Amino acid sequence: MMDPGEREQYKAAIHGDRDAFEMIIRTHSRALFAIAYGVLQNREEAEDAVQDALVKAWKSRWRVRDPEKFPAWLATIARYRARDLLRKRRTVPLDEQLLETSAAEERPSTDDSEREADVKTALATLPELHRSALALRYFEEMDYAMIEKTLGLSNGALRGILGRALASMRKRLKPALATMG
Amino acid sequence: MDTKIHQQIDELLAAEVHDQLSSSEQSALHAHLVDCAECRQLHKEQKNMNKLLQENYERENVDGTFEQRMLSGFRSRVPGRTGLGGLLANLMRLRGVQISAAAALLLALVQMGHMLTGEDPSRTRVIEHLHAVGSKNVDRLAEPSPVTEWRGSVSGTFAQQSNIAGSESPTVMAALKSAPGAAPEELSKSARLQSAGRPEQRQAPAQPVPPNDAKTEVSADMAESAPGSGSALANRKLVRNAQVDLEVINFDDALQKITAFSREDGGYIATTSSEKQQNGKLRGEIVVKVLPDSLDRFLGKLRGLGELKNQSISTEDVTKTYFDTDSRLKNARVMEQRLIEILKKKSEDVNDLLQVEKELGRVREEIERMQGELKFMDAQVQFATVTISLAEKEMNVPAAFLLKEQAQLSLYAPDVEKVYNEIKGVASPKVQITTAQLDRDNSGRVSARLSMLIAPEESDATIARVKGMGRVENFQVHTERVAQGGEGMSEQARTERDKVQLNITLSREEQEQALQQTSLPFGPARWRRKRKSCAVSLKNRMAGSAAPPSVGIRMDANMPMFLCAFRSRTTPRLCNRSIR
Repeated sequence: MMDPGEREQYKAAIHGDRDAFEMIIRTHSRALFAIAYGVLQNREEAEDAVQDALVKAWKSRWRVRDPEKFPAWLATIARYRARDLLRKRRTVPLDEQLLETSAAEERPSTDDSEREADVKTALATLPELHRSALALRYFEEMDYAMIEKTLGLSNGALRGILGRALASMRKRLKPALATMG
Repeated sequence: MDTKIHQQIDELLAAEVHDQLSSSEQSALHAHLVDCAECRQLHKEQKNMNKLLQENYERENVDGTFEQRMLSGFRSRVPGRTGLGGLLANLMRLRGVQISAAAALLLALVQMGHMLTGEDPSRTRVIEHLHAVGSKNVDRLAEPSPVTEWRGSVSGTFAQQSNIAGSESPTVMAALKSAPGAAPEELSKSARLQSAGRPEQRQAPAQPVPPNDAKTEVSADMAESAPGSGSALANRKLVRNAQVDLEVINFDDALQKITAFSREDGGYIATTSSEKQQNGKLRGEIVVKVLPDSLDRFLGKLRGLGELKNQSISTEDVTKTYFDTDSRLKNARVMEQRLIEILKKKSEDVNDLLQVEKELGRVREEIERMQGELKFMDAQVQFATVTISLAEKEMNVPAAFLLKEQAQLSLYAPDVEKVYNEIKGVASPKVQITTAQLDRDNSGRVSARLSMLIAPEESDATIARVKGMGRVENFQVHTERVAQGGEGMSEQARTERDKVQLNITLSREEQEQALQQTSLPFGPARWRRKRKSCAVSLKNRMAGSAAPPSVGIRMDANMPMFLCAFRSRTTPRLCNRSIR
């Protein structure tokens, strides 16, 4: 059950209370960023997606009937906006783009930077939902129940998702992990 | 169990590195890891994987100014108040307003139809229903309207619809009602005015609102809202404080109970202070910290302790300040890191280094200050502060009463000086003479004034003794009861006698003897009658007068009485006046 104060805040925001909405921006934008990052795997683009999503949410806030569903609705808008951005850049495949950026940086190719690129590539192969869950966990250190609520998952579903996500990552990065000792 | 763990190893390992396992699951997993080498290897890899991911996301995470960036971006892209059109458009997007607007439009059309045809509106059933909806809405706003006379019974469906219509609907309806046939501009203006009044209504829950109204529900929610139970997503920072004034029978009992209550509700006693009054009653203040969630329960328990004189609860939302400080802190940390990096580069110029060092010092100071602020706010949010003022019953009962006696004694004595010295001789440790004054006037007459303070136990004896030294002309005692350390009456309070103040005036006795020697000579019967009345009045005057006999009286006493009578006969007032 939602905290009455929180509910009231969502309700006020839906009714056009700008201060309430700005407070929601303060408290929720990091979670939205994590969701967008899960889709885009790029910080700048994810920030843009969150910004667009917030503006869009404000303009269409009247669509939300039940204040309790406001955070989940916000998350959906951010996810869709991130997917839009992803579609726009789809002309360049993700892997190539990653290679390009790492080449452009012209850093001396150390074990570390190689491993970073490997992690990114491995993450890119995961389903979007898995990546969003990982982002919420590692960016915001949310507990599982909270992540499930934010992503609209059923109770206990996250264990399976994160278990599979990490297992798949382990398999891809097995050589690197073995050298870490 | 073991095979089950082996099958679910991926999930369990993920939950383990994320600290999401229960203690029983954790111990089962560890037991399995001891036995199963394959899973042990996975466990090791998982830990490394977790580390890599942590590093990756740490690099990719946004900095402390992220929220500020989002806010300023939002503000620049969505400018503040939109115009009237925008507001109306926003209004029209709400379902409730849509329904109401449709109803209002229909109503207006019907009205117009009536105006054209001249038909009596009260006969049409449909209109009755429509008006029922309208008047119910108008009722909610408590606004006088000409429509109220049309109120019919509210039909079920329409009543429901008007409830669904929500809080926005009354504005448009009322606007239509109050200005039927008004130009659209006027209409939208009044709608805007009313909707502009709405935020105030929401923020003032004390304002009387009908019980069915959604706003009442909202304000009740606000009053009951408590932090802590909320999710991490909306971690609002609310500081709750309460002030309670209680009147109790026994202070110590109440303090013990409050201590017990605060422990039950996960709190503690922060400070206590008590003070004993003169009348033995205790008064004090206790500051208790309790978990915000249990504040209401705690206050409820407090009421059982005694009579509640006063209670106030306040809630302060520091979310904005908190997050602002938090973002500034993160910024300062980034700054600190940069400065450290600059230092590491080892510039040749000593001045530069000093400059950087200085700046680093300033930034670190700022970081510490902001950390302190956040800690303070955390502490305030974590516990609600309840300040309890306790006072024992009958706090203002006086501790004692003081009887203050003041006596006035006028004495006549043949030899004033002798008596004066005698009275002075009364002085002892318990009889203290404060003033003593002997006067001799031009004609050689002596009078004296004395004041003394007498200890209560000696007062009666001393006063009697002084009285015996001459002839008492006048004696008055004035007693006053003064309450000490409180007000009102009390049966238990002691009564104490204060020192008695005795003021004595001494004068010679001879003048009065002159009056007593007055004899009345004879005269004609007509005069005699007058003389008699005159003499009686003269005597009365003399007896009643506290002042020493004046020259005029002496003359009267010795003068031939016929003169007096003559005077009184011709001008009776003159006679009186001369005596006076």
